[in-house]
Order: sequence, then C-alpha cells, then structure tokens
Amino acid sequence: MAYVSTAVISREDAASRSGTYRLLARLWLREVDLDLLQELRQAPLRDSFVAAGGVLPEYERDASDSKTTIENLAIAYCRLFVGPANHLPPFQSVWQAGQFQGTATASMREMIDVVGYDVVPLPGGVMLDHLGVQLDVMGNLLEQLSSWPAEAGSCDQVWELADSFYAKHLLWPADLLATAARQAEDDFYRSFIMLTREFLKSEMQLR
Amino acid sequence: MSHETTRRAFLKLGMAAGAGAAAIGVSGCGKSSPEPKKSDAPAGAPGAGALPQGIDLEKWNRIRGEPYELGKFGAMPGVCQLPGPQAKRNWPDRDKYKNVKKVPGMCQLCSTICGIVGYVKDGRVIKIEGNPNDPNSRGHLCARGQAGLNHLYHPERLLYPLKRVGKRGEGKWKRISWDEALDEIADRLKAVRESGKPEEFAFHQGRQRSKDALKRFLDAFGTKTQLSHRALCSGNRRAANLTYLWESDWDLNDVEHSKYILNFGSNAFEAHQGHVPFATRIQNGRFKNGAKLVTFDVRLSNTAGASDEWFAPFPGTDGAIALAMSHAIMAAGLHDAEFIHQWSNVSVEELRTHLKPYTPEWAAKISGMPAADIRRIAIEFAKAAPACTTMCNRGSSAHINGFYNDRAIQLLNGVVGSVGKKGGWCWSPWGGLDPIVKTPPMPPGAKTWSVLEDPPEYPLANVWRRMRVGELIYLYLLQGRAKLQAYMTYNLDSPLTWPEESLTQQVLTDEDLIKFHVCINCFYNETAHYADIVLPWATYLERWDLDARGSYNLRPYVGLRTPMIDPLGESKDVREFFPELAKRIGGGMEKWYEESVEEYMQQWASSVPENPKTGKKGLDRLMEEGVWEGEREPYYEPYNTAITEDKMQGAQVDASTGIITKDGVGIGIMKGDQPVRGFTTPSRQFEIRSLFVEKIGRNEDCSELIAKSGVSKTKSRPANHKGHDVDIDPMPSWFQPKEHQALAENELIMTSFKWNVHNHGRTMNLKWLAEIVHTNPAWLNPVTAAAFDLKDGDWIELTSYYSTELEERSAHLKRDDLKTQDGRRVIATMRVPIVTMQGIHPQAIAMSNSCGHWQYTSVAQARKNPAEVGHLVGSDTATFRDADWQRNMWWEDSSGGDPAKWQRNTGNGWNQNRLMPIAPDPVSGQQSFHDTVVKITKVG
Repeated sequence: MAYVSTAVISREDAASRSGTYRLLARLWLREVDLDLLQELRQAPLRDSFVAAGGVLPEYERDASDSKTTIENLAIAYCRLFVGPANHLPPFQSVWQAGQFQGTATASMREMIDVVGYDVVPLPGGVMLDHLGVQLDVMGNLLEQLSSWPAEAGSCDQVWELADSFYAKHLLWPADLLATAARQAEDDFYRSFIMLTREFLKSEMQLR
Repeated sequence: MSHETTRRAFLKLGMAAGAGAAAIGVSGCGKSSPEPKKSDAPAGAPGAGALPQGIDLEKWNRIRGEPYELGKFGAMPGVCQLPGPQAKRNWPDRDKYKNVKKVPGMCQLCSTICGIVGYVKDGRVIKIEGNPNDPNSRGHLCARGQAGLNHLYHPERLLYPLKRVGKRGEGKWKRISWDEALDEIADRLKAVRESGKPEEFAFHQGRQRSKDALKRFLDAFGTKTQLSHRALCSGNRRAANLTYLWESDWDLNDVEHSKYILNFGSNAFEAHQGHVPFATRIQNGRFKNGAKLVTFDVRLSNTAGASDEWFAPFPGTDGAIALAMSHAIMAAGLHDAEFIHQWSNVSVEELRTHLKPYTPEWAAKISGMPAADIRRIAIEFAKAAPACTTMCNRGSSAHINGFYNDRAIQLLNGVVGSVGKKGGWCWSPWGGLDPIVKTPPMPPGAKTWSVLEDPPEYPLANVWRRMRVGELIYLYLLQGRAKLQAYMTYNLDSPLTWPEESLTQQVLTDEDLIKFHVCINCFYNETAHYADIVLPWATYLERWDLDARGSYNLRPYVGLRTPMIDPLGESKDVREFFPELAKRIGGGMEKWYEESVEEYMQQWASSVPENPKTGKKGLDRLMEEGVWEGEREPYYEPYNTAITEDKMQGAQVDASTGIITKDGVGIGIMKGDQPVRGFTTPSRQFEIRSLFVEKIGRNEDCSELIAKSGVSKTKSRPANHKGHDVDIDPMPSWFQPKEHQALAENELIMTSFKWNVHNHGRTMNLKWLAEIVHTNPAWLNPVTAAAFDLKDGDWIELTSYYSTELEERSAHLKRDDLKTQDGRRVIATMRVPIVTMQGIHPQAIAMSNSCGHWQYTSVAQARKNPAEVGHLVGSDTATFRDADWQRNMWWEDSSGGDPAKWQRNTGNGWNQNRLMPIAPDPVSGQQSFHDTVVKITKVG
C-alpha cells in the first residue's frame, strides 16, 4: 500500500513551510548579523514575523544604534546557546544522552546523505545534530518536494522520508525550547524560541 | 490563535522568508542545490535511487526500518530512543566493537601520560583502554583515563572562541570567529614585541604535554616569561635529587625488583606523577618479589592502607625520621661502607659524625613515631640492601622544610648503597622522549628576564632546571615588581589550584595589572572566567603529540598522541593556531612554521626505526603500535660505566681528586686505574655534601664546580640575584618550622590530598568521576573531634594563618594587607563539615584539594539547571536510578550554604586552597601545601 502522509498538503505549502524551516534554521545556527537584521526590518518579512508571534529586536522599536543591537543580540545568543556557562547547547545528543555526538549525530549523518543535503554552507565546526541543521535539512527536503517534477513520478516515499525525519530529529526539542524560553532575557530570542516551538507543534499536528 | 490561524501565519512567514534576499538561509546564500546523483533505474520507480533533487531513495529504503507511526514508540520514537527496558534486553551488545578502528593515543587526565587505545566507530570514540604496547603503563588505565569519554563529549565543552563583553569576571561573552580572535591577539602581542619588552608577555601553563610547540612559539616571540605550576607540585623532590645527582631531577625507584620500600608521604596508588606505572610495579615488587612496603603518611591514604605498615608522623617530620634511620643504620654497622667511600664525597666517619645528633629518640620526640620502630624499620631496610629504595612525593616535599625532608630521605639510599642498583633507588637521564626523535629546527632560546619567571629570592628554583615559583606571580604583580602587557594561560586553573584564591582573583580581575588575558582551555574554568578572550582547546583525544614520561623500565620510549576524531566544534590545538598567530605577528616568527602539522609530526617521528615484522617505521609505525621503546639496557649504576680510550684522548686527570676533564669540562673520575663516568656532579660523586648548594645560596660563583660536572645548562645565579642570599646547609639536615613547634590547643595543621579518581583541578566536571567523589569534608581524628565536642557531619570554621617561619625568612613576602589575629596574619576563614577518621594524625586536618569549583561546568558545581520533573526522557527511575548527566544530579546541594540544612555527600565541596597562604620553601620555592596552621571552632 502506498504510504499516505497526512503532511501532504500542497506544493505551495511545502515551499512556504520550507521557508519557515530555513528562517528558523538561520536564527538557530548563527547570531543575527546586520544583513539579517535589515531583512527582518523590511516587509513582508517584518510583518509576517510579528504576525507569527515574533518580537523584533530593539533596533526596530527604539531606533537605537544597530551595532549595539547586533552586539546585544550576540551576547543573548551566546548566553543561551554557546556558553560558556549555564547555557543550553541545542544539540539532540545533549538533550537525549547528556553528551555530544550521540546516536542522533550518526543518524543525522545518514539522513543528510539520503537527502543529499549540502553541508558545506553550514557554519564551521557545527555538529550535525544541532537543531539549526535539523531545521535546515527539513527545509531542504520540503523545498525539494515543492519543486518535484511530474516526470519523477510519485513522491510518496519522499513524504514518508520527511515524516520519518521529523519524528527522529524534530520531535526532541520540546524541553530545550521550554527551558530556553524561560531562560531567555531578550524579547527577540524568547519570541523566536516560542515561535519555533509553535511551528514544530503545528507541524506535528499535520501528522 | 487557532491551529489554522497559527498555521497560516507560519506559511506566510515561510513565503516571506523564501522571497527574502540572500540573508535568509543557513549560508546567507539562500537555498542549496545538491548535484543529482546518477541511477540506472527509471526516475520515480521504486528503488530508483537518486532523484533529480538529490534524494537517494535506494539508501533510504535500506535504512528506513518500519514506517513511522505516531504514538507507537511513545514520546520519542525512532533510532534515537534512549536507554530503557529495551536496552536492558540487548545487553551485552555483542556488536558494539564490530568494525571499530583502533587509534593510539596518550592519556592526559593526569601527568602520568599512560598509553591508550581509542575505539572509534562511525566517527565516535566509544571506548578508551590502556595500550599494552606502552612499556611504562603496560596496558593499564585508571578511572580517570576511562573517563576520557566524559571529557571528550562533555556538553559544556568550549567549542568556539569567545570574547569578553563587559567587565572582566562579569561572565558576559559573545562568540567570535577564529580570525577575529587571532587578529586581536596578534595585534596585542605585536605591540608587546614592538615595545621592546617581550618579557611582558607571560605564558602560563598548567599541565602541558606539547613542550615543543609551546617552546617554539615563545622562543620565536622572544619571551622567557614562561611560567608553570612546577613549584606547586614537585620542586623540592627535584631539587633534592639534583643536589645528589645533577643528572636527573626524577628518581625512578626500581620497586618491581625491590625487597623493601620506604614510602614517605607518597600516595602512588591514587596520585603521583608515575601513578599507574609506579603503583603496578610496587605491587609486583610486593607480591612477586616479597617486598615490604612501609608508609609514613599523616593520613591513611589508600597507599598507606595497602601497605604492610603505616605510621602517621607529625606533619613535615619525614626528614627527621629519615635522618634518624640513617643514624640507626650506621650505628648498627649496616651501612654500605664501600659505596660511601667509593662513591660519595664524604667519608664514613664524617657521615657518622654528622648524623650523631639525629637519634631515633630525637626523631621520636618530634615526629611521634616510636624510636624502637624507627630503629627496627631502618635495620630491616638496610638488611634488604641493595634491593631497597625510598620513595617520596608531595607529602614530604610540600613543606617549608621540604627540601631538607627530601634530601634526608634520599640520603638513606646513599647510606645503604642502593643508589642506581637493581631494586634500588634509580633514575634515568630521560625524563621524556627518547632522544632519537628530534623536532624540526627550533628557534634560539629567548634571552629576556622577568622576576615572575626567575625570582631572585629562591636559589634552587632555576639553577638546574627552570622550576620557577609559580605561586608568587600574582603577589609580585600586586607588589608592582613586574608588569604584564599580555598574559596567556594554557590548561591552567590558578584561581582554584593556587594558594590564596582571593589574591589570585583580585589580580586576575585587575585590567591594569594584567592588561590582556587570553585563556586556552577545553572548558570554562575559573581562569577562563577572568580572561578577555577564550580559545577552545582541542582535547588530548583530538590532537597530535609525541610524548613520554620518565619510564620505570629505566630507558626511554616514544609515545604518540593522535587525533582520534576531528576536534569538536571549532576547537583547535596550539599546533594548529600558533602558526597562524605567528604569521599574523610576523617579524620573523613566521619562518619557524613552514611545515603543516602532519609534516611536522612525520619529521619528528622519522627516526623511529623499522619494525622488521611489519616493515613500518617512523610515524607509520607509531600510528600502528602507539608506542616504541628502544633496546637500551636499563640505567643501572651508570656511574660505573667505563670511559673508552677514545674518549680519554686529550683528557686530563686531577691527581688529587681523580676527576677527569676534557677541555675544562668534567667527563669522569678515576676509580683505581679505571676511568669511569661517575656521577655528573662537581665531585663526580654522589654528593652527600653539596658545596654547590651552599655557594649558590650565597650567590657565589660556581663556574668551576659546574665545569667539573659537565652539565652545561647549569649556571651560577645571575647578577640580579645579588643581595638575595639564603643559607643552605651543604649537608642533609633538618629543621622544624616555628609555627609547628608549639601548636595551641585549638590549632591543627592542614594538609591536602588527591583522590584516586581525580586530579587537582581538571576532573570534577567528569560525571563518572564526580559521581564517585564530589565533595571534601575535612578529616579529623575522633579523639581530636571529641576534644572539640564534634561528631560526624558537624561543621567547623577554619581560620588559616600565614607562616611565622616565613615572616622571618622571607621578608619580601611581607603582607601588610593581611589582618592580624593573636599576633599572626590571617589568610582566610571557611566553614566546612567534618568526617571523623581514625586514619589521620590527631594534630592534622585534611581536605582533598580537588573540590570546590565555582565554574567548570554544572557537574563540577553540582548545580542543576531549571528543569521540569520527568523531563529527561529515559530517566526511568524504575529501571535506572542513576540517569545520565543531563540536569539530574542526585548530589545536588539545596542547603544554600546553611550548615543546618546540609545533607551529607551532597554539594561540590570546598576549595581548600582558599585557606592556603602563599608559602614558598625559601630554598626552592616549592609551595608548602601541607604546613598551614589553622584554628578550628565549632559552628552551631
């Protein structure tokens, strides 16, 4: 019997979902830089970010110096996810096995190979079970599905792959997100963490 | 918001993000477009393989397993399911070591450097074991070494360079790139160089095993302000050995072949720089050779507990007991008269006269050890000669009189003639690698001078080896005796492991005293907390070295440390980023870095000879075997080695002394009509009387003495040491620090110790080890406790004092900042709980020195981050009471510092070094960790 995924909605949805995954991936993987900050300031991204529950960085609200805003965001990001102390490393292995490079990393390596995901653009040294990588891989998969050529035939198996990837590598962060939302001192980061949580929940509800 | 509303909002967000410019997306370049993979099957057919977009369905079909169904596996489905009931049914996992790759390495979780093998599977180290090819450790590996996996995969490891934001010590950081970090560091260091004062860049190492890499960088830079922790470790033992031998600072007691072992204050079964190699040989000596082990230790350590006899002398009286033993041996006529006559520079009569006052009865009064036992043990020891040896370490060394303690102890070997004999007190000239391996050319040594590296007050600190006096540097900076433009720390945790924590913190925080601080470490420790830039260092399982320790086989070897996996995150080793830094600093530094790391290692290991069975040589051979040991004979009785006729060509013999020199440099001594090597000392004898230390103490010129020794590295003290004279007895003698001579009723002597599962400052973050020991109540004898109306678990307040002995002897350490109490300067107070132990001297109080971190990860601090109950998937308390690390530490202390609420065996202990004063032995500078007088008061 052909696999039927409840996540098969439409190609357009797949493209949009991919965009959300990739935006979140970007926010998880690196600090906000000036380019991204400027993108977030502009419509339509600005409005849709806010509509989805995001709070823009202080820059927008009180027109303070952007360099200071970038610095403050970098400090907030570091405190939450990089360290050096009392932070929340956003790696699946850490949250499942209490250490780096657990079975989740090996699984991600396999999945990345299957998906054909290009790791070269990733920030240097990032381990593959970083939440940002996982979000980006999902984004990549959905992007491929959204541009699925008719001559390639049924993409049921690929939907199944996407569902399986979600189950293996995107169901885990609930505790990370809850803890990070509590620990975040910066409104922007708190909002983006909550946004991630709500988005992943909504993805779960598709299945 | 309803689900539909939320979903629409997310879809709009995704559309907007997808339409956005290059900023969105991981690379900032938008979407990735993988190359399509080729497949023979028609596209879209089942098993079609790669699809135009790059998805490999063939592979997916191989690995997918069962289709996912929500709810089938509970909260966490899929291959990443945590241990639980399923795991138990799969125990043991017989496939665990299938298809592993074995990679050699050298441990670095203590200073013993045991050879290891890492089992690597799917890019992960899954097990570490001892390497049976290591001739020193012979395949053994202790608990620390096993916990290397905790170290490597610790979730709080430093992975990225960080830059301080805000005040130093505020704990506010941001991530920066390596380029940014190295650019800034290079700018600062370049400025130091260009200021004409390169010595104002200080490099400070804790435990280091990449000596060549550090030396290359620092000498290329031109600074000799290379600081270490040696004075906090083994300075006196080394100085004592050098006084007798000159050739080596490290005795390698041949315990495996001994019949009698006298252990003064060493806890080789738990700590000690030769730990596993030494402990296993002691046991072999005992059980295969019938050796008796007698331990003198203030505390019943595991070594003492496993000994045949244990005595707990008054702290710091080891030397008195040893001198009394020498006296007793000579009185019984059991000394080796021939050795003393032939090979020492005193006569039997001189020695007997010198030892006359040091009777067992005298020693008994001071030490508390019965005179009859002193005599009995001495005679047993002598009767086992020459297969007998002393051993000592920090227990006897880390005292104000430590140099004299250790000199007295080593004298015993000279008295009974076990010096260099099989089963006796041995050494080798190879403290590390076999000299067959040579690094590529090194820069010339730096020629600067700094009081931080060469304090003039300590005559034996640097005269043979650069031992330095590390514990003084912060005080000297505070006193304005030196300036630092830049400070680089490397695997160092001085705020925890150095004495006087508050002074260390004060100086490290001061941006005028230390203008720029770069910390290189694997973890955010107490030192990193006071840095300006933190660089994430690769662990010892992720980098290259050739390494070895002084071997108990009495011949050198070569070990290989290999990257078992790629360094995690952006962590790097100094071998990788020092060249980059050198290139950015420029000014000629860059020319010392022409090879890549691999090329450098190839060159360095190139002389390792071929294995005739495998045909492999050089680095290839080491990659396969891990360790290579040459075929030299063990270094027994090197002083009896004949000098060849060839070597005697052109030599002169001093008719009165028999000393042979060539071009003014000593090469040997005549024994009868036979020219032999002798000892590499000025007298070419085992120097019981050392004119050298006497003259060096008085800043006299010793060039003639040095020439006779043939040891070219040793020099007279430099001109800027003038005026800093110290009386050093040329003969082994002993004195008791003033403050120990009449302790008040409420005073004890504080000592420290290490546990078998910890080192001083780098293991408390490792959960497997912290689970075993994580706290350090003070040990108190029950009789002492009763006198203070104390019982197990009660709390006391300790007040520590500065040494009155040093107040007189070391005026340069005068501390007007310390408040006085009862005529003494107070260092600190601290409240701790006690545990009553019969196994401790009634006038001593002991705490382990591994505890009390306030940084260095949640595990070391025993602090739980906020978490919800039951949040840790897999923490099935019915199956696993002891879930893995993740925020679930059962030893968490919720007392908030309130003794009334404290529960036993919780918390992360107390930093004993807070109480310890800066107290260098006036002769060598070794920190006196075991002398501090403390007052105790019951709390509550």
